[in-house]
Amino acid sequence: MKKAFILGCLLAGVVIAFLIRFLPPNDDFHLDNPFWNGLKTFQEKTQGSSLSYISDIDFVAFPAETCLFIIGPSGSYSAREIASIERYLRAGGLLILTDDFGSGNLILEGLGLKTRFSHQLVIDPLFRGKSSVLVKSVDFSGPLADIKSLMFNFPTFLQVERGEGRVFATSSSFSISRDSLVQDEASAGQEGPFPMVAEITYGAGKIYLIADSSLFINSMLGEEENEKLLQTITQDKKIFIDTSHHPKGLLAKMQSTMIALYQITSRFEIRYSLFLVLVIAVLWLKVKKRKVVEDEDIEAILKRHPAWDKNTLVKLKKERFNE
Amino acid sequence: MRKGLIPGALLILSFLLGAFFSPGFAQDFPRHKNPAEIKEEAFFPHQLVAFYGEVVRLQLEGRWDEASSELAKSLLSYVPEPVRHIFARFNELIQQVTDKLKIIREDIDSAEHLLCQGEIEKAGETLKASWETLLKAERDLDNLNAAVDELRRRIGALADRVREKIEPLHKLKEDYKHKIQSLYRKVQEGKRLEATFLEISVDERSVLPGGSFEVYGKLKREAGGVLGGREVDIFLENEKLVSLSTDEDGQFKKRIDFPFLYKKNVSLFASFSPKGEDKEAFYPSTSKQVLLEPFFYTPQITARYQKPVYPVLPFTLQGEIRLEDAPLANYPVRLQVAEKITELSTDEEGRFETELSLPADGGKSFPVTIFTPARGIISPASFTINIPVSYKLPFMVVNVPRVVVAPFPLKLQGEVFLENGSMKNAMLRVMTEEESVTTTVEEKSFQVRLPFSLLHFSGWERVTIFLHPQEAWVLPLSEERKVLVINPLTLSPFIGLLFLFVGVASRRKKEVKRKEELLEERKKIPPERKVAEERKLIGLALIYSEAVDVVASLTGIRQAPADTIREYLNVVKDRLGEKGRYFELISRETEKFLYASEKPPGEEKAKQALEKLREQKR
Repeated sequence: MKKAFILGCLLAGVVIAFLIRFLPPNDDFHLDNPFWNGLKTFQEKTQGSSLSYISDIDFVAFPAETCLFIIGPSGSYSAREIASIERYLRAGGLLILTDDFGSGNLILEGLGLKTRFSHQLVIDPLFRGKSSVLVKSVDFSGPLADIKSLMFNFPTFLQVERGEGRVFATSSSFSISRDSLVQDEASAGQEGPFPMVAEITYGAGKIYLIADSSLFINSMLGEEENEKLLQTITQDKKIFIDTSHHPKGLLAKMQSTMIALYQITSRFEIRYSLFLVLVIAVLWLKVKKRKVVEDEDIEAILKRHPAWDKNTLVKLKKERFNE
Repeated sequence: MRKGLIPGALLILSFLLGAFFSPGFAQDFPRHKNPAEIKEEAFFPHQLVAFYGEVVRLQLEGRWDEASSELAKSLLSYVPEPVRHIFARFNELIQQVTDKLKIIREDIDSAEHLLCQGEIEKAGETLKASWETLLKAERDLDNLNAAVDELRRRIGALADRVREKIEPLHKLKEDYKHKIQSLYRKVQEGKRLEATFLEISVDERSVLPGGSFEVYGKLKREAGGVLGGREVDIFLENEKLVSLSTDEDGQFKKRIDFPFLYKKNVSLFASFSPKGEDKEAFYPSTSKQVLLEPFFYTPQITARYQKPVYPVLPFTLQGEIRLEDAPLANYPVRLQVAEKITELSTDEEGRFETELSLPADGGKSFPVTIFTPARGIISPASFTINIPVSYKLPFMVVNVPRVVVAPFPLKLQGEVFLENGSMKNAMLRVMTEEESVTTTVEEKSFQVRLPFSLLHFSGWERVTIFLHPQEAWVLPLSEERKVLVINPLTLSPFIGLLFLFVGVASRRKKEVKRKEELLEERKKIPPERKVAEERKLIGLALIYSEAVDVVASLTGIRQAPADTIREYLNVVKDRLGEKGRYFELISRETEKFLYASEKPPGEEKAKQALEKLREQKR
């Protein structure tokens, strides 16, 4: 029973290892996540290249012909990373920063800008999907004038510094901001319309700020004209997506660990050492098995002749085979 | 075995899968929720009522297009399925009312204007059409009220607020009704003013920018005669240029300066607006348009540059400005590159030449615009030339060793070149998966030491060498090489295992070989010899065996297979008599040999005893 339980656990381990390897990730904003919260459709449509280190953007030869997406950033940005973004922008790059309650403000602060994501929830009881947190933006101007409606999912709003940026999309005048999900008078904030999409010119480049990190996730890209917004702002530019600041779930961590383990075991020493250990173990088991069989022969003789001495038989056998 | 296998597997699987797919939003606000799983909220129509109020407000202000645009947004608002069709019908009716009220307003304005112009019949027809539209609008408003009644059955008393919001539309309709009736009364009264006619002419249509032309004309009455002492406005390109007074003969005349307008045709007309008492007696009038033809020359700009053009590096732009195939000498020229403007002038032959440089982030092509200002009869001109931006490709020769032994660093040496140029302080970054070293290339050559610690595993390592020149006109360059890293520390366990494996394998091989040899030898021995050898092989046991044979022949008692040595001795000892002690000695020595200590048994004694047994037998 105990042996079987251990074997069962081992079997489960193997199945889990296969699942980890072949199950698609379910993390927010993961480029390979085909579920509602992933960016697989976005990735397929834009053919964007993932940046595991944002400083890799330094290697882009013509930033003006590219577009860098930072979607739903989490965690802090180092001074080196901010410097890379700044260089990219000054050389004419286009940064599209979509955030709501993440760390997008750290980037804006690092770039010396005063515009901020408010980190307050915007809800709209009239211009919305089936819930007031699925806010629709219905007023557009500038390059987004051809768009009629966008749908956000738990958005915040932008606090655009006067003279720093231009607002291209706002929520309706019926929208309101909240400090908390609990709907009471204390949590009620300002009344709309709120800036939802804005543009800031930075050096030779531009920053598009979108007040919701979820506009381009699989379940939202097809809503209203979200996809049209993507096409309008990216045009034919080559797209890079920062994946270094996405929160990682357990599955993704396990997958990374598995990849790391694979990388370690594929090292020369480890690979061939494991192979040798395996071969030696097999040989050892084989010898042990043969010994057991031989012992079984002696046991059989002793059964027939219980009075005979086992040691003598072993000794005899050894002498007989010159062992 | 199977009993424990499935529960064990299920337990671990359920635990781990549960951990993978557990939802978790630690923040105050989630970043998003699955739209498919978000519960449908109840409908809050207060906002929609407010929205309709805004639409009606815009209608009342006569901002019809804005009202329609705002109303179109109502399609984007959320209305639940049971009442959606009522709201859709309601929106449609409001839009229809908006369209009709807009037409009525335009018709009223048109009728007023026609009445002013004395077009009584036309005004009457317009008012009739307007009246029909008003009746239709009334019907639409009744339908709108019916829709509100329907809405009341679904959303209750709140529908009354919708009715309140659209109530001003009824009032607006009534206002329009009264206005139409009032205007229609005027039409019926047939009251009209006297028309005026205005003539205008110029001495010459062809005019030079900055020059002047003479304008003259006459203001006549419908009933005959002229209007003297009246003010007539002269408009050039729809902008008032000057006001002139008519003389006693109703004529006006003046030489006017022509502005610096560089257009093919410039329109000129006169307008008379009655003032004071004239308002009750005369209609305003406008003359026909006179088209003036300004006479000017447009310079032709040509420009050329020597390819290739690199960013930042200066290049020479040459150009020429000609006017009707003649060079435009000493003429100012402006060049704009990005936000920088360079001013220069042409030489005696109409040529200009300057050194320019494109910005560092020029991309693949960059526009340079050349402007020439207006001067007298010379119009301004501009010409934009898109200059393709070239970049120099650097060359790099790197000497990378094939093998590196940890902890010794990898020493890279190399040189960078640039055809027809040089690079200064280019940044060089050498990277492996774990290490990265950045250095600056001074002059041409560089040397980099990339450390490999003893923690680094052995194997092929990809080394990327990235050259990032400081000069904007030089493209970055990267190269990849492979290096075999040998780490004695990490290799030592493997080597130990290898020795162990070789040892075990060779020992096993020897054993197998020896057994095979023995088996081969055994195969060669005939069976009878094998038995003898087997006996020889057991030494003292053979002596005992032979002794047993002798005893059996002497006593006639054979040793039974189940008899032990002691048992057989007891059986035959008495029968052997004197010889019994020899057999006893052999038996004891054999027992010692078989069961006793490790000491060598008295084999010689046993042999002698066997001989004694045999002798006595003989």
